[in-house]
Amino acid sequence: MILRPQALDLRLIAHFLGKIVLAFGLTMALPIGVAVVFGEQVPVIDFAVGLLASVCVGLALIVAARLPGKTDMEWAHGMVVVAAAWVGCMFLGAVPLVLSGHWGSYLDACFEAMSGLATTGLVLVKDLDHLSHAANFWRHLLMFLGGQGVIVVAISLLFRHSPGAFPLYVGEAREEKILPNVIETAKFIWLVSFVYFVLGTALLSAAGRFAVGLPWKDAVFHGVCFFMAGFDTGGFAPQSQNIIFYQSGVFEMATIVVMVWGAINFNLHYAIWTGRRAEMRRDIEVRTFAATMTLVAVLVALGLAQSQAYSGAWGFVRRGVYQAVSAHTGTGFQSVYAPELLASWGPLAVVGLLFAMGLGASACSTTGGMKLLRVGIIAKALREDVKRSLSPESALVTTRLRHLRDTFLDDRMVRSAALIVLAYIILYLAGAAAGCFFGYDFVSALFESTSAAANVGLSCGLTDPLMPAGLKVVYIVQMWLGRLEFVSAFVLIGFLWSFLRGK
Amino acid sequence: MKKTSFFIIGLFVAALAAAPCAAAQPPEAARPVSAEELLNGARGYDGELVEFEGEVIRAVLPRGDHAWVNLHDGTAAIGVWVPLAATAEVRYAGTYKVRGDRVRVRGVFHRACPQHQGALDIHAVRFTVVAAGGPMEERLDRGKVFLLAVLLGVLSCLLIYDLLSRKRARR
Repeated sequence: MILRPQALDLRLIAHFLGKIVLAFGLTMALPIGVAVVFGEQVPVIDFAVGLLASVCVGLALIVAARLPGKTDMEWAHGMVVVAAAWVGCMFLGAVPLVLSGHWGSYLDACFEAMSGLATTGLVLVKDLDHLSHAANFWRHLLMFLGGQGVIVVAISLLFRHSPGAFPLYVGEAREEKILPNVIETAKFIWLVSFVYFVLGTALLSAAGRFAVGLPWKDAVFHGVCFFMAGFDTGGFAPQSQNIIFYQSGVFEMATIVVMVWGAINFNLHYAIWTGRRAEMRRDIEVRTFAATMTLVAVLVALGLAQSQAYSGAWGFVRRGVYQAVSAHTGTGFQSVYAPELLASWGPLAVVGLLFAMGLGASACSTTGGMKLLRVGIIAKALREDVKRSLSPESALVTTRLRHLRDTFLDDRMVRSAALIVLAYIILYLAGAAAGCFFGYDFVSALFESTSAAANVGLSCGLTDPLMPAGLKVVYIVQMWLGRLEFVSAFVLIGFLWSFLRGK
Repeated sequence: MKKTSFFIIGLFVAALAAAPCAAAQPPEAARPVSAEELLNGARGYDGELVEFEGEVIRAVLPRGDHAWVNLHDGTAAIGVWVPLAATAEVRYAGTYKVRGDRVRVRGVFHRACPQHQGALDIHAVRFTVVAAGGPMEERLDRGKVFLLAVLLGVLSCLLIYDLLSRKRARR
């Protein structure tokens, strides 16, 4: 029998949802500041509307909840709040975008907001080269907030007690705490991000000024935007040509550094910060990344050679290797025009990119996709099974793996990894089927679906303001499910079902 | 482990060596084309003399005695490689509050330029500003101001209600 949620459940959810929406709304003060710096007046109004709308919704939820005293939430509440908060933030984050007039409809603005929050990077903006600095900054800030985690933002700003915050933290697809206290963990994530923000922005601004030739003010603005989109493995760019606009190998190399920083597990950042640098060589995720990256580079190289896409080694590095890193880290910066990917790259190179996008990078980082930890676990389990079948029946075969500490591979670990990997494969194929339903060919549909569900953002040209509204909705759902790694989204769906059908 | 690494690197080098060098030969007649046509039919236009017109966006990016100028024709933007001296005429580059100069370019289109590490570009042989750009005025929609006022009203009501209900709860 399914139990209908009680009034207290709803009030708890409304209270915490209200807090998160409120914290999210307050971040819209930042683009208002950017508009003031660049002397833009209309965007100030657009963002003031967005900020007030978010504050009103957040406050209304808190007031309506009237939560009595200190009430801690359970796991299910946390999951529901997280999944609902991401949808709520998408709707509210889209408000200033649609008011700017650069999106064809509110649905398009919602698509862009979810693409930003989920750090995907697929775009539906029109005339991006004339978009205000404030709205452009907001697109990139959405990536930064989503990459760090909307919940991490809210925990840092508005939560004082760890017990209430922990279910929320876990619900946002972060199983690993870096420090024993979740609030301290959130603060550490911000500390790392802030230090890298300063270093990364300095690197990209210098590259923008000296290698690209932008004026200082533009170089710093583009540096900030590229850091947020690169470190959070998002893939938005301030210009319509993405990274091609800059026409600079040095700038591209600087973004590779930032992308790889972002693709590393925050726990590994912590290990490096605390002097345990050897972890970088020993960790299963780093080893799996080295192996899969080599495989992807070989596939792309063979594919490009087969299709005779580029004439020299540097062409291969600046287009082939760059796209491979961008796909594998889940970033989606494009140094190749979208139609060129399918038209000139050849099937093997496209398979390489699909493979890289589908896998993703580290757990507890800002990337999407299956994650290398799970891939590494499954590979080890496969190896153990082969070893077991070759050994005498009485032999005890065990496998050790190194992820932050030494552990022995067990069936529960393998089952959990395999289930999520299977769910991702189903999601990629379901999106491809939807693309085919709307009349696109299978390869384009699979490429774009994998890019959306793994939160990558590389496009072969299918994502366009003119694509069917139904497909836009499918991709929004894919980005949401992919970013939250299914569990909290499924709990929300179960909650809504029990609300309708429960007794 | 070492053997596997050598095998992978060997494979990698072999793949690179297999990529043949393409040399583009510009034909004589120029064809007026849009960015969309160039991007969707890049192989067909590769090495051809084309005529392309678009708005200068963001900035002219100098590289020694040459410069990159990105031109947007309303469908997409393409980078144009041009002698720096030819860009002296460009006064405005398109941004939020500026409409960039409109430029007509005649040049050789490359799907994967051998000089620029595989970039899709046009090497200009003629570069002419055909229409001057200029500053654009921001237009404020009154509806947005009205919406802002309504939201301020709603927020005030919510704050008053919250304050009153807290007072009632304390009593």
